[in-house]
Amino acid sequence: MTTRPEFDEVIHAPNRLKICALLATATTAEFGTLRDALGVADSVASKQLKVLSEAGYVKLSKPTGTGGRAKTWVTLTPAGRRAFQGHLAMLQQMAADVAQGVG
Amino acid sequence: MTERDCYLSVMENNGEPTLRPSPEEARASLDDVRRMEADLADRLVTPWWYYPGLGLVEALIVSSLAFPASLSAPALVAGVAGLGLLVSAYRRLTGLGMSNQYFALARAWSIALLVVILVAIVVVLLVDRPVVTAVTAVVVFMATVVLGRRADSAVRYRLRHGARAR
Repeated sequence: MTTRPEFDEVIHAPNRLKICALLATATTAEFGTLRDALGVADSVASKQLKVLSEAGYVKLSKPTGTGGRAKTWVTLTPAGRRAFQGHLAMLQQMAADVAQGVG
Repeated sequence: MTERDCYLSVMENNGEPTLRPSPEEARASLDDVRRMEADLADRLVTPWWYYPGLGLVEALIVSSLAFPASLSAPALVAGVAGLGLLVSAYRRLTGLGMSNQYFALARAWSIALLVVILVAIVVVLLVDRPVVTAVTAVVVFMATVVLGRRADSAVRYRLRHGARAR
């Protein structure tokens, strides 16, 4: 099945694009791992995740019962994966167009 | 701050972009995705015990099919529980999940391991001899360790060399 190129305003912001890029492979990541990968403060990572969560692109969960401090896990939703793939296809199409001298 | 940074900063702060990216911005965004995938490759460091543990669990599950009825079910349950514990420990240690995308990035090695396991199951079911079961379990263990590590290398290579954002 081919992915339809589609610009996604929510995903295009750099940190949110990076979050989706990581989750597109790992599907699930712990909040601290995501924050470290982005190289940003907790508050910045939280803000970006909130936007993605409100768009229905990621799901935040805090599993309990394992002892110690519960960690927040972030999971890419099927809608988030579709949106990321469509946005990536759009970026690739634009980059290919400029490489071929179109647009 | 460049024009792109300024535009993207507005997007992150307000979430209300007014412009579509230019082709140059699209290429810069693809570079961001590539860098993130390369970073992910560095973070996907599988603990040394993961594949030997997985090999033992898979060998137990396969050989449990030849166990007497009273032992078969408990061995199978122990194997499945062990599998869950291994995956859970991997997630806690790396802070990352191992999804079906991992399978997609290392398709050839994953399919090879799957074939070995399926053949092993058929052999154990058809040849009801303890020696054959033991040898099959050893083969499953070895295949898991060798092919699993090869799959890891393949995933890291593909992530470092642009699995998606080519």
